[in-house]
This record gives sequence, structure tokens and C-alpha cells, in this order.
Amino acid sequence: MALRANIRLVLTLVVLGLGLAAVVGRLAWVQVVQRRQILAHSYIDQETLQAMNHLLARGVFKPTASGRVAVDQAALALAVPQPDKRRRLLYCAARARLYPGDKKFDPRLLRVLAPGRRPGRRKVVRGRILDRLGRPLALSRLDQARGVQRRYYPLGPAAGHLLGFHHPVFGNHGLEAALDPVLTRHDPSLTGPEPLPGLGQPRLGTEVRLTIDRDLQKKAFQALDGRPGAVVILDVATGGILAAVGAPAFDPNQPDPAAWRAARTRDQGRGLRAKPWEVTYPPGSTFKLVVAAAWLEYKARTKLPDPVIMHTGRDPWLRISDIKAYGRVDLQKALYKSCNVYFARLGVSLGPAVPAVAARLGFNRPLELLPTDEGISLVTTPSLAYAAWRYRRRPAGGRGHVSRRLVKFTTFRRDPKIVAQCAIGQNLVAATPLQMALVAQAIANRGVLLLPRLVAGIGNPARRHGYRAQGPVPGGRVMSRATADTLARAMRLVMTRGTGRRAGKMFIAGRPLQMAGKTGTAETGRPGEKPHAWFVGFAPAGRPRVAIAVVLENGGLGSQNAAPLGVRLLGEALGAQPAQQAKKNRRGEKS
Amino acid sequence: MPEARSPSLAGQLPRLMVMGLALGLALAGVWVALGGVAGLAAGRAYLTSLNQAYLVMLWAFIIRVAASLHSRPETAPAEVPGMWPAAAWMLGLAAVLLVWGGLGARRVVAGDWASLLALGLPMVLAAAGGVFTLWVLERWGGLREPVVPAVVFCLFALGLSLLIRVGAEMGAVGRREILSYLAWRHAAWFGVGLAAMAGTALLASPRRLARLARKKYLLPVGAAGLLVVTWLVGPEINGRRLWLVVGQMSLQTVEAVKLLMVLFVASYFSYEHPQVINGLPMGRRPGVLSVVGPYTLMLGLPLLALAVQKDFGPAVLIYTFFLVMLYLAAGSRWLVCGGLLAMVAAGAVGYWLHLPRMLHFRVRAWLDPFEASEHLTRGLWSLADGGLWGTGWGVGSPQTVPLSYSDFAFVSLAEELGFLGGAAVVALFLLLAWRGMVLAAGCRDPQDRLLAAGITVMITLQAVLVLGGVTGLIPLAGLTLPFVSHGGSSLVVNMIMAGLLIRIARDGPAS
Repeated sequence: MALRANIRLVLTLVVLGLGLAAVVGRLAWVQVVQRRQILAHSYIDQETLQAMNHLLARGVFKPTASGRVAVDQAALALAVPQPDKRRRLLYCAARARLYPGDKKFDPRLLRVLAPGRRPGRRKVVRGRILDRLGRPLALSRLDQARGVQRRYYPLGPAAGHLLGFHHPVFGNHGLEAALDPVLTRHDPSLTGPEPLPGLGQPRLGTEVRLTIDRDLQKKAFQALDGRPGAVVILDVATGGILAAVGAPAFDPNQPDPAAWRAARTRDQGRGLRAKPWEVTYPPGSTFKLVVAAAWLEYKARTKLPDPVIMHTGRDPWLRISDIKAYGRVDLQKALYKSCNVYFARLGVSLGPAVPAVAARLGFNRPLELLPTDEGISLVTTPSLAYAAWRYRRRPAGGRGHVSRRLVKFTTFRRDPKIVAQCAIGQNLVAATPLQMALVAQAIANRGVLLLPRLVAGIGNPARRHGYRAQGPVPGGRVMSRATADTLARAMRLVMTRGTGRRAGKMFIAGRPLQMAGKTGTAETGRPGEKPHAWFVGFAPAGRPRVAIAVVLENGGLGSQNAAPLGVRLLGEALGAQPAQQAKKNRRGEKS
Repeated sequence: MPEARSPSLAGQLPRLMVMGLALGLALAGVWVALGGVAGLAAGRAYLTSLNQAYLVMLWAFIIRVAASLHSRPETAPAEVPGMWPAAAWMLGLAAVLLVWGGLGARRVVAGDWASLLALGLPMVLAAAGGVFTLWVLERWGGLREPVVPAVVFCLFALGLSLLIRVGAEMGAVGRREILSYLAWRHAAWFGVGLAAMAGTALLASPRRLARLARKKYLLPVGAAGLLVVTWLVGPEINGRRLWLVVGQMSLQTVEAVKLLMVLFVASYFSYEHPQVINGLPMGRRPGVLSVVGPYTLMLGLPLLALAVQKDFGPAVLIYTFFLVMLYLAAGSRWLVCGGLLAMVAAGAVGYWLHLPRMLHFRVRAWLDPFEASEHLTRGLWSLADGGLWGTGWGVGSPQTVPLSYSDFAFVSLAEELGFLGGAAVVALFLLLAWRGMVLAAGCRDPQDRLLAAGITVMITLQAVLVLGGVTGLIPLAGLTLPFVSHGGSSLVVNMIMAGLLIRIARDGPAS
């Protein structure tokens, strides 16, 4: 019997054959016709590839046996300062394959999806960012008509440096970018407001609760009043950041695309850097707290007495001078009068002990602000203590990848003049406002450092297991209790008879609030510029609850400009009022 | 005498033309290969032209085998059945040589003879086993079937070359140790499969098949029992329950269920079904159970598979197989179309209800692979990288696709061999389907006919589902590609089916 005679068999064969022919057709479509378009979905540019190979050579990326790329986050933060570039590199590294022994990334193993095409991320409404009391700092609004979301920031520019931004066109930046994996993760316990036409019930992203206090953040921004500078306020007991403000700030609610483009491109986007933890300034006299702490630790070991000098106003050998001569100066007086000569000599005699104490306080390394076990990371720019960046362009002389490396100062004997300048917070010393607030916090905490943190909890607190609260992150004891207490007493004297005595007073229920602080006036090193004004401190002096660091760029004298601002904000954080207002209130009560 | 039985020279003309084309292609392949070797001697890059020669030879092989599609043992005794399977092994050995060259050029393996031996030994052993099995079948089994072993061996040789290639790449980079032994495991399972094929071809006499047909209800009940056991004790891997672990081996129960179903459907529709339609002799009517029972089983098994495995691939395969067999045995065209439409509708409803979840996920990935599935996206990149002629053996990067050795084996092949190689694999399945239907048509006994057709439909249908899935034509079904993919139980079961086909080719026309 021939096949042709059996129509059922023939028809079945034809149907099966059509199925196979369809496969061949599809294969031709994919492999021949649409080939270029499909390969265009794969996206790795030469610049990124070069940067990745460079980082591989430097050991920032490491191969693992499974082929996944291990990333040294801290080293990456040091090597690539630009956050968006760093994010792109991390995105590519997560999709690359690298096996032990590989000297370079194989571009064919680096097939990554083009930017913006992430599977399964589309329909989640980005989660809100809340302050410590649950008030929104950033929220996404759905456009009913178009089904797109827009991010809205209730504080506007006041939280610009803190939050960064999320924009459908101009991308993610700062904290918003760092929190992206959490915010875009669907939280099933949250129910959306209303179903959208064509989209169904919107799926809401996980909410993140910060340690920030919204009112304080707003007050701090208003207190800066447009002057360029930054304020960081820390909770002494938990290490949480209560406010982090930078000015001038970009308004992320800005609708004008030209303004967005300008902000992203002007000075290579420098204006968008978070001043509280991404910009370093010479700390000036506030760094004397660190030198004093180093001395007191040294003294506890060697039982030496505090040095006492006869101060004539200048030291010709170290080329350090003060505005006037103070006569007989001991450690306490040197602190509250902020005596440069005393600390320059102290720094020269202490040598490498000062950067050692500074390193314990958080200098010379990037600090992590977010809980990394959630898969998120935001690191600060390292503050420098007796160290500097050395920049290198690769390939040398060409237009290539610029990398930088932290180089520590080691020639203490050979360069006493540099050591002297460092000891008064100039030259090779630079600190972020957050770092100086940490110094104040460590002193207020009687010598125990709590590492800074931004996130109070992730998830929905209404659900029992859906909320992951983030506790304090201990940073260890950085100085002895006696040292911290001595420094705290000296800082109290700064506010009563020293450089901060004219900074004003704040009152709680009619009683003056005791404060401790240290002012600073830091030369910028550029001729013709006014110095940076600094203030670090904490309050109440007896039982500290909040610590602060204020810097005003080119603000003039710290005692006249930064200190009043710091005093006022410390008072605001504790619910105190300035003198006239307090009097007015009392009068009002009487009448 | 062949001349005496063949109708005329004009009737033989198409076949002669096809054979001439195959010969011409083979000569062209030799010419290109010689050019490649000459280039090699001159120190030039040789892999491209040698791989092109390989593709040309592959197509020459396919066309030559296609010329034998309608050959019948009684009309063409001059056909040597063992010749084209041997040619398939030559293709496999050539592939290993090219893999060695390609991987050596990329310094994945050392380019010395020891590494060639290490790469090629599984293939040599498999070839020796395959030739030996054919010799045994010719000697004692009266082998008269040239096409089925040729196609099966060619598919297996391609698959084994791919496993050798992917395994070497993964072993070289110290990825997962177990993967570097892929080829050895696969070759060992092939030995088991050869024994099963030879055993089936030698032992499955018409008498035994008839005896099996009397106990046919044990088959689906056994299949259901297997599924339930998998449900109860099988481990859940990747969210699905497909495996039954016995000691070191893990068996995919669906494969065994497939074989049992083929046997059952053939038996039922050849004996019981005509009685249901025509009535029993003496005017007795069949019992309710023999009318309703089989259909219940046929519809129940896919549902059971769906519930047990949380995966719709095997369920779709078994269900569609039943529908096609229903048409083949009973000729009910509308019932089949309605059944298929009902399946598509159920799939759409399941997609909306997210039930099972796997279905929703796969359909979404199919609708927009670049948005929803990185796995499919990598597969498509791999395919597109291949282009028309492919990257060449050992030169592409199929190991970047997850499961490149099992479910996505075809993608890996199509990357390294290009569109021409991928189409060649599809053509091999078409040859198998065609030859199976020819064999079915040649059978006198309805059970043999349905058995041959059922085996053909089962293998081809699975191939269509897998190939369409990995190329993005239909939602991914998560099945193995018969004879090509790595997978012991799948290979053995498919080899048993091939053995049945070989046996039926001998017995069918006679009995």
C-alpha cells in the first residue's frame, strides 16, 4: 500500500511538515532577515568595555568559579566617582561572565540588554520614600490618561541633595538611584488607590522609611537661605541622619527640560553632587578636635603632661600664625581660643598618630549609608586625613579613562610644615560635612562611634513580617571615655568663653540650652577667596541628643557665620526657641 | 530484480535526480574542504571554509537519504541499510575534528592530539556502538530499514558533538564539574539506548505486540501511577515536578508516559475502537467502560500531568498527540479542530488567570522576549549571532545561553551551524516523519500502522513544540529535543520507539 492511498496519513504528514516549515521560516526570520535588529538589542559600548577591562586589571572585578563577576564595592567607589557611570558598570558586570584566568572581558559573554530594558520592571509604581514619622519625601503619581508615572518631591529643592532624583528621561541619581532595586520591588501588602484603564490594578513598589526628619530638613534648608553650603544633623543615640541639606540645590520637581539638561551637563554635573557626603572641604579648625583626641590618647599611654606654650602669635619655623597673641596657652585654652600654633606643634610632635585616630573616626575610606544586605549601596566620598588623590589618565596622555587613587602622606619627618598645616585642618586634610558631624557624634557618644545610616526600615510596618527595621550600626570605640569627656568639656567652653560665645542662645521653656561646639575657618587655598566657615557641635551638652556639622562655602569666619546657624539648628532639632521669641512668648503668656 | 519491478526509467527519474544532486553537493563539499585544508597548510584561517564544507556535506547526506524515503525492502534489496548510518557517523567524527580545531584556535583546549582524543573518544565509542548494533540487527534481526537509523544516528551525532563542545568549554573554565562530563554521560546513555533499540527490534514480534494489546489497560493506568508517584515523592526542581530520583539517576517520568501512551492508543484504536463503532459479533453491545474509559484516560492524563508537574509542555504534547491519533484512527476532523481550539482557548484563559503561573510567564516571554525573559533573549541573540552560515563549530558562544545542552540545544546548534545547519536539523525530523508515515502506510495490520504513525507523530510533534519554543514561534514548552538534547530517559525512550519503527518496517508488509 502506497502512502498516497492513505489520505489520513498524508494529511497528518502535511500538517506536521507545515509545523516544521514554520520553524524553518521563523529561523530564517531570526537568523537572516532580522539579524541586525536582534543583535542591536545587545548593548555594550567600547567605552564601557574598556572601563570594565581596566577595572578587571586593577582587581575591582574578580572572576569566580561560577562565572559570575565579584565586585569590590569600596574599591569601585574609589575608582569610579561618578555614580551613574558606576551604576552602568555594575549593571554590565551583573550580566557578564568571567572565569578564573580570564585577563579580559569577552565582549560576546557580555551580552547585556540595552539600557531601560529590564525584564519585569515596568508596571510597578515606584515606592514612596518616607521620613522617620512616615511623611512622604518622594512619591510617584500616576498619570491616568497616559498610564505613566511622575515622581513628586514635596520638599522640592530642600531635599534635592539628600534624595537625588528619578526622572523618566533624565534617569536616576543619588539616593533614588541607590534605592532603585528596593523601590521597584513589588510589595503585595500595599494596595493601589484605583485600577487604571488598560493597566489594571497598579502594583505598588516597596516603601523605604528614612531616618530623616522632614521638618528639620526643611528648617535647615531655610536656615541656609540660599548661601552655598551644607548641613548634616545626626541622632547621637542611633547614628541616624536627621537632616542632610545642601545649597544651592536643584529642584527635582522642575518641569523644564532645559533646566534638567543644564543641571546634568554644567561642570560635568557637579552641581548635582550631594554636598553632605559627596563633596569634601578643608575642615580647618574643626579638625583640631581630632588632633586633640590623638594627643589625649597618646597622653593616656605615656602619662606625659599637657604641653604649655608661651604664645606670641606666630611660629616662624612652621610658618603658622594666629590673629593675635594669647600668652600662656594650655590644651583647653588652645581649643576654645582655636590656637593654630599650639595645634601645629602638637601635630608635628604626634606625627602619624593623628591620621590613625582620624582613620578610626571614618577618614580615608568610603562609608556605607545603606543596609547592603538588602542589595543596595550608597557610599560617601572618602574624607582625607593626611592623604591626597592621585589622578591618572589611561592610556597616558590620551583621551581615556581617568582613574584616581588615594595616596597617603608618609614623610612626617621630612615635611614638618605640611604636617603643621594638616594639624590645623588644611593642606592634605579634607572632610565631608557628614564626616565632621561624625566626629562630633563620637565625642557626644563618649567615644563610641555609630556609623551613619539613612534607612530606618524597609517595607510596610503594618505587616508583621513585611517590615525590616534597620538598627544602629556600631563603629566601635574610637577614643577612650575620658578623652571624649575632656573634649566635650573643652567644646562646652568654646561656647561659653571661646570662639562660639557670640553665637547666640536658644531656650527650652525659658531655660537656656547648653551646647558644645567648635568653630572653624578654613582657607580654600585659592587666592582672593573668602574662607569656608565651619561649625560642629552637639546639644544638650550634659546629655547629648543631636550632633551637627555646618559648612558655609566662602562664608567667612566660622565664629561669625557658621556658629549662629549651627546653634539655631541644634536648638530647632530639640524644640528650643531663640531668645527674643522665647521672651515674646513668655510675655504673651503673662498678658 | 530491481529493474524488473520498477515501473520505468521515467518513474525512477526524480529519484535519480535527487541522488545526482546529493552526489554533486558531496563533491562540492569535498572541493570546499580541500580548499580549506590548502588554506590551513598556507597558514590561513581555515575554520570558515571547513565549516561550510561540513554544512554542504550535511545537506548532501540529507538529500541522499531523502532519495531512499520511498524505498521498500522488497523493491530495492540493493540498498545497503548500514551504509547511510555509517555516513552519519562520519559526519559526527568530522564535527568532533572541527570542534577540536575551533576550540583549539580559541585556546579553550590545547591543540594537541591528546585533547583531540579526549574530545573524540565519546564519539568514536558511540560510532562503534552504533555500527555494531546495526551489524547485530542485520545479522539476526533482518534489518531492511535504511532511513530511520541514518536519521537517528545523524541527529544523535550532532547532539553529541554539541555536548562535547559545550562540555569542553564549561570544563575549561571550571564552571560546573558535572557539565564537563556531559558528553560521556550522554554517550553512556546512548549505549543503554542502543541496547534498548536492538532489544526492541529483536524482541517486539507481532505475537508479543498482540499479547501486549490484550493487556492494554495496564498501560495508561501504569502511566497514571507513574505520574502520581512522581507527584508524591519526586523532588521539585525549578518549580516543576518532572523527575523521579532513583539513586544517582533522575528519570523524567513523562518520557515513559509517552511510550506507554503510544502503545495504548495503537492497541485501543486497532482492536476495541472498531468494535465500539461496528458493534460486537452476535449483536452484543460493548460495555460502558470500554466506550468511555479510554477517552477518560486520554483526557485525564494530560490534566494529571498538568496538575502534577505545574508545567503545560508535557500536557500539551500528550493532548495534541491524542487528538492527532483520534483523527488517524477514526477520521473525525472536526473533533480534532475543536479540541485544538479548546486547548488554545484554555491556554488563553489560563494566561489571564495566571494559572498555572508557568504558563503566564512563558506566554508573556513569548509575546515580548526582550522585555520579559532574559533566557529567551539570550537564545535569540545566540541564533542571530549564527546568521546564514553560522559561527562554525567551537567558535560561537552557545554556553552563554542557559540550558544550552538540553532544552536549548537546538539554539546552540543553530548558532554554530547557522541557518543552514538549523534547517538541516529540521529537515532530518521531516525525513523521520515522512519515512514513518511511509512505513505506516506499508503496514497491513492496523495495530502496526497506528503504532508506526503514533511513534512518528509523537517524535515529530515534540520536535515541533521544542523547536518552535526555542526560536520564539510558540510559547516555550520545556521539552527535550528528541535524540539531540542531553537527557538519559528521553534518549532511551526515543531509541525504543526507533527500535519499534525498525521492527515494524520488517514485519509490517509481511504480516
